[in-house]
Amino acid sequence: MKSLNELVIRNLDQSRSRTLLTALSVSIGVATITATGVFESGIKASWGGGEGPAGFIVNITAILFTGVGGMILLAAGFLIFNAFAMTVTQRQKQIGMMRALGMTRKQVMRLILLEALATGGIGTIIGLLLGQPFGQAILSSMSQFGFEAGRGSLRLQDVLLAIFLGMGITLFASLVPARRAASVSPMTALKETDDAKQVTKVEFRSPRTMAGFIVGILIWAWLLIAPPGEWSGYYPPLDLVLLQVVGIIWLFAVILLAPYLFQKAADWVKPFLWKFGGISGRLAADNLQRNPARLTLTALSFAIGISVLVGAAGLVSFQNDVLLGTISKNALQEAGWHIYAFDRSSGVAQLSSFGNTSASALDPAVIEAAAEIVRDRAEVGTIYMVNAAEIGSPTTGFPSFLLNESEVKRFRRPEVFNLLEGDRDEMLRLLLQPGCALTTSPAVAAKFKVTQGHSISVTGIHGKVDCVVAGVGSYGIVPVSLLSPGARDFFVPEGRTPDTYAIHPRPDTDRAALEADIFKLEERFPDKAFVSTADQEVRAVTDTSDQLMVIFNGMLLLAIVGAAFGMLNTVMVGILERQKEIGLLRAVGSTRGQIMNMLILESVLTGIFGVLLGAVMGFGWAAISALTIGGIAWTLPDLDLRAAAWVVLTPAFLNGWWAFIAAPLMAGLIAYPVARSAVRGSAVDALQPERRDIISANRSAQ
Amino acid sequence: MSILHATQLNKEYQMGEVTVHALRGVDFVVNKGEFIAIMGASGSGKSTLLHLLGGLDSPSDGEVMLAGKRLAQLNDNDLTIIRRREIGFIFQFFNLLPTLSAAENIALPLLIDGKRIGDYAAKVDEVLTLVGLADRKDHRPHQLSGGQQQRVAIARALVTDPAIILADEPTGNLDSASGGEILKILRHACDEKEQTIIMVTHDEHAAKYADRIARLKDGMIDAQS
Repeated sequence: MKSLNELVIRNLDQSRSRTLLTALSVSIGVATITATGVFESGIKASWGGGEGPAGFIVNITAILFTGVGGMILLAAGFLIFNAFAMTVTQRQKQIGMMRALGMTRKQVMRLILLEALATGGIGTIIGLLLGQPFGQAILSSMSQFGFEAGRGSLRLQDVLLAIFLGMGITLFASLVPARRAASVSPMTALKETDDAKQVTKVEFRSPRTMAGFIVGILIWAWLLIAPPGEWSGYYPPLDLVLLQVVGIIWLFAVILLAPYLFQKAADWVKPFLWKFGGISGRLAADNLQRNPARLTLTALSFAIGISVLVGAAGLVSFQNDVLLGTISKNALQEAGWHIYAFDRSSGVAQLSSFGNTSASALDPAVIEAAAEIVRDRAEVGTIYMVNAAEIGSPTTGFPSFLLNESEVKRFRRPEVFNLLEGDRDEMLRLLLQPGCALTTSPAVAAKFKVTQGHSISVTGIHGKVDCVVAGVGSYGIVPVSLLSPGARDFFVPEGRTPDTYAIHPRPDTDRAALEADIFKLEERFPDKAFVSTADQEVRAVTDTSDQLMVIFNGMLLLAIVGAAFGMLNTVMVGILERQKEIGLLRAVGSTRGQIMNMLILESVLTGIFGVLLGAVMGFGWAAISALTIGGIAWTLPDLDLRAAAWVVLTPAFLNGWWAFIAAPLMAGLIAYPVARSAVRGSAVDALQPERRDIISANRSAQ
Repeated sequence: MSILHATQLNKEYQMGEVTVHALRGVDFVVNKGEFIAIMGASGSGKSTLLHLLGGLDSPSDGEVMLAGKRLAQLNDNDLTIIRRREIGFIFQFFNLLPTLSAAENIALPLLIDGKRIGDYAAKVDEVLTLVGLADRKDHRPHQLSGGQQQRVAIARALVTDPAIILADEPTGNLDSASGGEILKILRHACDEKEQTIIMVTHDEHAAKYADRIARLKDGMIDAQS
């Protein structure tokens, strides 16, 4: 051996499968982050720079995916911590011996950290290699929703982020084990290992548990007594910031509480396990209580994936079912038809056209034909999509809409325009006068600190225009900003046709006959005219996020697989550590089956604990998303947030239930081969692990 | 009447790259109710012999008859059941489960056998009293001294009333006073209950408690006295 660094390689080589498993957990996280970049660039390439609602959804999706990647890495971090903590415990004698031979504490620490860096490095490289094809695979998977995405490319910024997170988390997670290794006394080498190791017990009064308990109580008291969603809005994006901050505080409270809760849970299930599983059940429950920190970290690695799955479903449900659901009730009262140049009901696929003004403009022939069909049977609104970043709502990337007079006149009725600030007659007067006027959402009004009668400077096609605020409120299913007919010259190029042709039947019109006539347009102008009804409009938005949830679910399955790798690691080392105990159990007459049952049960229970922890965290996040985001940005300031927080739990559960079963199942499956090999040798092998029986040595050599 | 009969036992195993011949053609007979000490220098094969006699390990060659059964003909499950019911083991390092109390550690072989601990409370108390730990029954191993832990291990070996007790250096890790206690308990089990005791030791003082001493050298029986 030339240098101490070679010892690192030898150590890694000696525990090759463990190194590989640890590296694989890292690689899945790194691959997810890299793939997100590829996915994002691919979508932006074909969705025209990511402007408009498409950009809005791409950005949200990218944030979600990066979040998932980060979560997988976090889970990997827990597992790395476990892996290295166990390595250090296992190698205590070796470390003690090296200390006795004159290795300094610093050298020991460097040794462990180098091992961690090498492991993280391998994982990061594998992850980077997998990221590109993985991202491309997500892009291709979108074609099943009718969306043809372009080729994504690996961007330097994502590579750097992935390397930084992959290596950073590995290094951070191995810091504590490395310090523990450095504090091993040289005496350890000379002493026989202490068999009667004390079982750690977590008290409720321990500072950690108490801290978690108090923080948890405080945060929920605040959320439920005075939901921040009642005052937070998009400008500044306080609601999203609050969602993240409160969500992280909740995560920490749960992590602090988990060891105590697990111990209690194990106490609680112990009598049942003993009764139904015999001594194997009893010992399995005992073993779970032996190392609360390790159990918590392993369970957490499962819990993270599950909680994100549940929490994200809650967030999406809050947006679709609560916010859009409430708003669309108003919109549906005004049931009519909209004609578009693209198919709005195609979910994700519509996004590439929606907001891309060159693709979304209606053919003049379609408009002419529609006018002929409608004649005097309905009011006709023509709507142009306009990109004006200043007044974009609900986010700056979202387009605004310029309406004609007939559409504006309908604003007399509260169900068409939900006016929240200002006088309705004054609003109509301002909107119908020449020059630029606009209505906007409360969020944009708050950003500019304006209300009815004030002015906002907005960038039009010829430069800045002063537009008077006619009112603050919402129209349609998304709280967009609207421009008056008089603003047309400032925002719509000469000769451009509208993007939407809105048909509102008169009270005395035969609706069915008119609808039948309108749908004939689709046959006459295939690929040029698409009719959508009001409830299709709502579904267009919800379908889009539902389809994204499908992809999201797939990514989270990956998170659980990543956790399973780590689980395999933990189970393997846990068994190695207890080889003597297993030998003892064999010596006093346990059958192989009994020991396997014990080991597998331990693993399954860890999975179940992970699921429960994930459910607690995820349902918490689902409720937090309703309580922090609130309805202000969506023009629903009076939304009952506590009721909404309750409502979103059911869809959150329905989306995540498969993981509740998958996690313990996977944990059990993974433990099976490890448990099998643990009981394969003779009892003597286990009692004297340094000696291999010649028969089993031959067997493993074959 | 012989309870254990070993003929021409050979055992080879691998230690790193080297093949070790731990036993070379050992013949060994143990009568019921006998207390035998197996002595020898370290590496002489005494622990290996003990493991083979107890069915913990299988010989490379030769055979062991235990209570009229050929161990080599038994499958793993039957062998396990014999270990569970007919043999009690005592190890040098006490090998108690840290999560169980003293009483539960003692009851472990019964629990493994699917028995209910409640039905055997009196038996557990009896052996606890026998080893002088009646007041320590709810203590965890880490709350006990080394000598006390070893007495728990002996109680665990006695609780099933096994015909044979195999002890691998039971006093090797204890001070002489604690060691003396342990040996008295073993002698007692042999005298009062007619249990057969085979003890590996390299302590001449400990060996004095035995009825007979078998000395091993280089994997062969050197002398019996």
